[in-house]
Amino acid sequence: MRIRFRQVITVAALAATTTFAVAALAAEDLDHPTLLKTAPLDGASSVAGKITPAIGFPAHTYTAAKDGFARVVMTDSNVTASDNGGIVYRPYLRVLADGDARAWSSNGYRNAEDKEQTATAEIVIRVKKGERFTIIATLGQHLEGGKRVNVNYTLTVKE
Amino acid sequence: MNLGNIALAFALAAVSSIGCAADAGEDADIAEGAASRKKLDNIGAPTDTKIVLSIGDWHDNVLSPTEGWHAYHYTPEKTGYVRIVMRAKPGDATMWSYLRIEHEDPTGQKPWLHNTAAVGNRTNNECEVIMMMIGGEKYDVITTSQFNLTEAPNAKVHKSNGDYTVGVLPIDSTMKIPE
Repeated sequence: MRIRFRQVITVAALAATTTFAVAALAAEDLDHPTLLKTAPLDGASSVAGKITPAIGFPAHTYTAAKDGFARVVMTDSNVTASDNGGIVYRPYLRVLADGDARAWSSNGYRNAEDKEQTATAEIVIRVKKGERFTIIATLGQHLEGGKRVNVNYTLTVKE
Repeated sequence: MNLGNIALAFALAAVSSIGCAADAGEDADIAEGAASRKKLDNIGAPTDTKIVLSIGDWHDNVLSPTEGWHAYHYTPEKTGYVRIVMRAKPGDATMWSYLRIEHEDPTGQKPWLHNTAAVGNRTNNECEVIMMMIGGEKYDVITTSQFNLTEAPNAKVHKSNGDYTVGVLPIDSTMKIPE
């Protein structure tokens, strides 16, 4: 059980390559996220939305505005505070580079400061101006094949 | 408590740490655990190299079909961002670089729940994780090949077969992580 559970998380983390875009018609999952074309991240910017049973793997395109490092931060909170025993569902953040198969993932931390009502995941990447990435904001709960849930999320890119 | 939470609780209760820097009083347990890990050598139990990485130093090693998952240890002296880099020969069909960094959370949550992972650049076969590390806390640096991960992460024989190097490096002094 331990290995299988861990395997699911890690394989889901980075097993897939960047083929999701051409497979967008398949059932929605980590490798086939829902690309929210109307909410791109252009340079230093932020978007907010909801992870839901219908859209469990929202994805946003990010285009770097300058050379350097970019810090991608996902924060989430339960839509209904009492869900999951009153503790925020764990975030799961994934970043895919267009073109050279690089990929990153992180499942972050629940925040003790607010009694685990929010959680934060962060990925820092090296970017060049004009370089494009896809950022997927989801939950450990969804990777593990559990019941899909409702969570508020914010994605922020700092350059 | 729903099924997902039950699974999580069970996994949390069952999981073992995958190799932390040894304290003198824990030698016996660690030796026993290391033997088990050595035997398994898979995604849930990488081979513990027992090597403690130092910032700025590279360590050369070999991933093989029978030793396809390596765990190293790193404890930063102070809090700050670092780069963890794995490099393998470009074009090696078995050695597409993959890193996973696991944080042994002092609050008791399991390290594999706090992990940051990356797959390398397919062209130059360099994999880089840039992350904040907390001074004095323990991290495991796990190296493998993307092929080991995707093809059979619990197999006894792995795809990997080649040299690589891994290191924990400081952030370039001329570049700054955005706040």
